[in-house]
Amino acid sequence: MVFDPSRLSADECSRRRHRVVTIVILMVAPAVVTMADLHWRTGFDTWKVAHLVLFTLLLVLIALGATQSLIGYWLRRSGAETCRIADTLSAEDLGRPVTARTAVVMPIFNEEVARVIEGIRAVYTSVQKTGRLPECDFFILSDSNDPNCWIAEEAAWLALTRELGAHGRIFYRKRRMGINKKAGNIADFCRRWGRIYRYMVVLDADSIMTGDAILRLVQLMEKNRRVGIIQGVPMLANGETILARLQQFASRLYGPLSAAGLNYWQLGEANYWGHNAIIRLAPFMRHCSLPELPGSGAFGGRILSHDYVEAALMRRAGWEVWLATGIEGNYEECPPTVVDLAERDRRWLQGNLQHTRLIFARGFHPVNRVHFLLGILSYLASPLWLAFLVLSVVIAGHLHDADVASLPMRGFAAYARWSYAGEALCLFFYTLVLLFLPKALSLLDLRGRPADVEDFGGWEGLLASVSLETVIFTLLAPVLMLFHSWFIGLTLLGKRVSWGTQRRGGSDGAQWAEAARAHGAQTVLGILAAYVVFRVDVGLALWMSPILAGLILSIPLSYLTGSQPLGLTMQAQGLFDTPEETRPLPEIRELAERTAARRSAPQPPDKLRPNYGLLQAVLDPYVNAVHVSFLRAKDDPPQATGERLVALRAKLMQGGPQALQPRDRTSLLLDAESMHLLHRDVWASPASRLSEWWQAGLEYYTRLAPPPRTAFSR
Amino acid sequence: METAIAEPSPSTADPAWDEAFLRTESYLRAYGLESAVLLNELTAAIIQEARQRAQETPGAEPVALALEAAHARIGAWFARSGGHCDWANDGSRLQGRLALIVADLPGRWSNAFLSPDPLPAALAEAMSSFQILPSPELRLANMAPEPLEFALLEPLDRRLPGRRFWKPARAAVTWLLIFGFFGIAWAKSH
Repeated sequence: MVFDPSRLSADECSRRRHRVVTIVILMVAPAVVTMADLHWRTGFDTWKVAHLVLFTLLLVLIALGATQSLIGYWLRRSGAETCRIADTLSAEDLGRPVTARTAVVMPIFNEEVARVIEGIRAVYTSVQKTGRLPECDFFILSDSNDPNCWIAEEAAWLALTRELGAHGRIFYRKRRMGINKKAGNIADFCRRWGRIYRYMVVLDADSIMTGDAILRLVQLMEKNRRVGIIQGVPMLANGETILARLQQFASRLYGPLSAAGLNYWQLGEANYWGHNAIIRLAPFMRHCSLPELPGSGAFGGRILSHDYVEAALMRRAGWEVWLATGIEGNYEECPPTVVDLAERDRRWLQGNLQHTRLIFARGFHPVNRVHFLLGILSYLASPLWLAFLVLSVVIAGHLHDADVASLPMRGFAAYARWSYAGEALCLFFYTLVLLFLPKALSLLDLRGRPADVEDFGGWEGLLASVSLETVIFTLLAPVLMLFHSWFIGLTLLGKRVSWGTQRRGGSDGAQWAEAARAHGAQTVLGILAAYVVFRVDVGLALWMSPILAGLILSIPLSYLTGSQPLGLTMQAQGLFDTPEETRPLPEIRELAERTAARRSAPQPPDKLRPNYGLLQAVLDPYVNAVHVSFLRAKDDPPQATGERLVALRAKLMQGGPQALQPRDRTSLLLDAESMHLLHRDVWASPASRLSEWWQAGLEYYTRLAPPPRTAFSR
Repeated sequence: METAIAEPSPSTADPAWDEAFLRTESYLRAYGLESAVLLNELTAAIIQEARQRAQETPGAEPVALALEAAHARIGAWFARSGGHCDWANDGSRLQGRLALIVADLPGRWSNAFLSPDPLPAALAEAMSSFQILPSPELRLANMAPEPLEFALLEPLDRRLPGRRFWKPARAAVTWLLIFGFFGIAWAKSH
């Protein structure tokens, strides 16, 4: 049946949201009362009040996840979901020609060029195959400031367009100044070319969308003229380390239920996640330009996490934002190691904390305020959990010192005939049930679908994978808790994060030294915590052993979960299989193969590698030509600038790149005349007038090996 | 018989010209020319030409002269191939190099580079019709930042609640009833 969002009443939206809150309350309330009863039996004090408040807050978050999965399960099994944006197309709509001009944009910042280019190739080729999107252009929007990436991007773009015959279809734009990060990058695109296109599909550097998925999104936008953004639900793919495969397995297995539950209450007030989404450009340009937040420090200034805010602004202007469940062919990759995961979370965390102020901004839809709040709580939960654990130890210590198990107040025990320990155990298991409900429901959802079970490696592999995934994530949870708590502390102290590049794909995986540096303090803290908790109460220590073990073993855990060979071994054993691995789409398979081939290509000598971009831009006649063609020639540069550039050129030739500051190298790379002259002069200068680095660079182009060394060599 | 040991004759090779030879060969190789025979022949011819230039401009460095001669040869090749590139001009040289790479000279036609033979028609066509279009034509638009106002008590700014108020209020009452149930249970038992 075709769904018409315009007929969705406000009452229905409210009813669904109220239902969700009611279920959450029904899940949380018995546990909170039981916890209160436990504290009552041993006598309330300030510690216990704080403990109860934290327990309630944390349980609400757990219950919300469980509720979404529960609703998602019910919708999928009963087929009762009637409000999916993906179901708005009739057979006639699907057959209608698509003429809307669409730009597929990929903003990048110092990303691995091989992955970026192969990603664009995969999406472009897939779109071409559909033959249904004749007006679709592609933009690589670079903010890269590392010359090695920047120069390689330019050359790779030209090579790709030449290879695909895509001149005038795939474009490359490099900003001289990366103002306002990714949001500024997209805004710059909108200001330059936004008026040409009706829609913009935003990809991340590690995104993949099939042509069919993009076509479907465009058709949905064409059909639903009040929709401003449709966010796809990307699945994780192409992971090779254990952690990456764990994440993609978990997201693939548990994600559909959660997404269905999310869509149940979000409806036309969904969120934008920054990529793998389609945006209607005219309202986006009119209403979603980000202002600066008042104040300075971590909570003020430019908005870091732009996506939630853009969705809220779009909704504020009256445009709907939908989550598109049920559209296949939408993928992204995930961080390969725990350290990378923490790095990414640090960036997201500061962006989300910055939204605190926005909860109270005028005019936003209440659901958007809830999105802001949940985004903040998703990270704030870590220090709250840490505080909860500390309070648990303190309370246990007090009880131990007082040598009482319970005071002679009877509480619920009078009715339930519970011992203190029995009641505590029940509460513990109830919490576990809420925690594991999404997993259990996701497994139950596979009943009667043998083909889907096979895609996950069969029941045996599936159950083994879920068990192992549970163990590993249980051990990793306290590690991430400490990372998040630390990052929040830094953010509150006003230490801003630099938005670096995320290591994607398998790359080098984890390294012992890196793991030791990142987790050394956590290991020490874990050992100290274990000592303290054992001193306080051995029973409590046993209960907390998964947390303590996670911290104490964080270094080997981080290293092993970041191991690519181990990840591939597990894949061979049928563990953590996903449909993308057992039945890969051609786009995903080809992307993985082509990227791997590029990664295994011979590397330049170590000595040249740090400044290989500069070397190519100066020496290689083609790279130089492409690079200079991107630069604006200055008609009449100021004399001081000209003199500075002359001095920098001379210094570069005589001293090599090490003789210059990075900003000086960038100045030269941004000056067309300098690049032109350097190409001419370095080639035409005798070695005696060039630095050793340039001599090594020129040698790289010779076909002569050095003379063989023998006893007769002089 | 006594063998006369001859003194090694001093090399007549000039290291500066050796360097010029290697540099020229590397430069041509940078254009994608990989055939050792072609490279050697071309480089030898260019060095020969550079040596002649050296007689006209004594004191000039062999490397510079060799590169000059190489550019002259590339320019002549371009002129012969019908390309619209004046290789003597620095700016045009850039366009020429772009034409070569867009036509995929290094990948498909490397042996045709600087060859005295007529240019393959496909290469000539590719070079003459090359274009490089990094971005579409600009259609500038304004994107003014959306103003945000922060009012802690925003709901109170609105007028008296209407229908929109009572729907959530009804839900809130339901939730209060749930809390009330647990509260009463608590009060009765503690």
